[in-house]
Amino acid sequence: MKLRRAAIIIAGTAVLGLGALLFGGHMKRVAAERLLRAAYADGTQVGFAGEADIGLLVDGKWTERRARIRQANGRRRIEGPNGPAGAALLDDGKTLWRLEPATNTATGLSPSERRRNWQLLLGNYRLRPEGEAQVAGRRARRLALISRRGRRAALRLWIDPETKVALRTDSFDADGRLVARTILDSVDFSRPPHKDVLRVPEGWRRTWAGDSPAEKLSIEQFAAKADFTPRPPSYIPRGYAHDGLYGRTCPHGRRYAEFRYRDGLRTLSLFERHPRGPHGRGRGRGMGWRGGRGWQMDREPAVIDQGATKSIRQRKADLMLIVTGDLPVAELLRVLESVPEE
Amino acid sequence: MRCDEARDNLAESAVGGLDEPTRSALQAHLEACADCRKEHGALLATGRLLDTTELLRPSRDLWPDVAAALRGRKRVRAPWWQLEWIPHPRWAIAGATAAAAAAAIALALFLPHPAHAPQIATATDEDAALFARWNAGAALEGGFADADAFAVLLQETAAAHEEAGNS
Repeated sequence: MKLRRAAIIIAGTAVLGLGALLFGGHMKRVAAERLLRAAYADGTQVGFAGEADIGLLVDGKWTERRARIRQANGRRRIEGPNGPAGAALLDDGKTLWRLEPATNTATGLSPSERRRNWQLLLGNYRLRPEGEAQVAGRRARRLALISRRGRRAALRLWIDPETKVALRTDSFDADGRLVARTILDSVDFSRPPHKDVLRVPEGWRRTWAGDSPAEKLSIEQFAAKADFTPRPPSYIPRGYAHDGLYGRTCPHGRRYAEFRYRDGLRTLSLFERHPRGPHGRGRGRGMGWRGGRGWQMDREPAVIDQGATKSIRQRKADLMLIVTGDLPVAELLRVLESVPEE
Repeated sequence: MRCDEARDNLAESAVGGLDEPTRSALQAHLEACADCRKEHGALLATGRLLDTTELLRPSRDLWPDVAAALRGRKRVRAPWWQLEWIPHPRWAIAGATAAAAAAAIALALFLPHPAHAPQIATATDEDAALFARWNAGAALEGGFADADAFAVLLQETAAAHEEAGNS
């Protein structure tokens, strides 16, 4: 009887302990998600000036740049070592501009209006609180987004719980390699930048970097504008959702169709173009190209870029296909193979 | 007395257990009925045979001797694979098989698959920098990427592309 009572007490304590542990873990995750959402909302509105190191893995080489960062009201300016006198990058929340004071020119590099899909992000990535650390002399909470499929961290953020500003961000590719890092090593919240610093100056010439921004279209709309009908792949890697078909024009005037897919954090793009370029002609790729074997060589898939994202190019029937994304080569090939011949 | 009543009393009559009125009635029936008389004769012969058998009487309690014999013998355990230590081995085997199958399915579903990276050629493409820039731009719009790093990447790929276009 005594033994039975002891067993009941032990089992009850274990159940209560496990419940408390699970509830505690759940509450930690809820708090972490709230902080992450705040970092992408409130944290981008806070005004500050700071110094940062920005590291990037490009073509297998890690390089770092020293930058001065100023932010307020969802706008951000990044200046290089030459300060305001040199070229700067300005993200006004709609477009990422390159500002060139020498020519009074603002060159659009990319649309930058954020279209966050929290449901997709948290469906494919688990948010893990990882304690606290000091960044730029401030106490920061460390959060990691762990891929539910690869079990690896894809993004790690150090967020100031007081201001909600992300003080440090580490980005990893699907193989777990560090591909990008921004660390603010000093930050001053008492000196928010003047609003004019975060705008393209009046009277400056605005232009676009060679090509025009992507235009979201239906397949029929694209076909009416280009000389081919784009064909979507039938295979999409798990976790990715179709974002849309975008029409693009490269600086040489070639029309590209881009089928874009997202998993919340990463982007997979399938670019399609007519192999002969506009008006039935390519740039120097006539019948004599590569001894007359050029077109045959294009029929075999080839890796054309091995940076943070991989690209594979292959000609298929009347289309040249380029698939670009942070995925294993085998997965990118499956996407290519699933594009119908006709 | 009828035949059926007489046969009910034959066995008891053979061992002398009937009261006087029943014994007289049975005797009268046996004198008149040849079948019952024959049956009665056979029962009397069996009774006589049993009387000659020696009756063995056991000691007052056998258990102490049985217990002592059992204590003297070494207990033989079944080997573990005969699963006598499990109350219901068939259910246990079925459960273990189901658990193993579930574990195998879970491993197949959730463990990261080793990428069977095919050996394919590498190539340069005049527009490689352009695709990298477009993909970086799309990631920037996705809203969760490191905006500063992607901004720098976009700027540098744009510069590289312009340089390639000018050369």
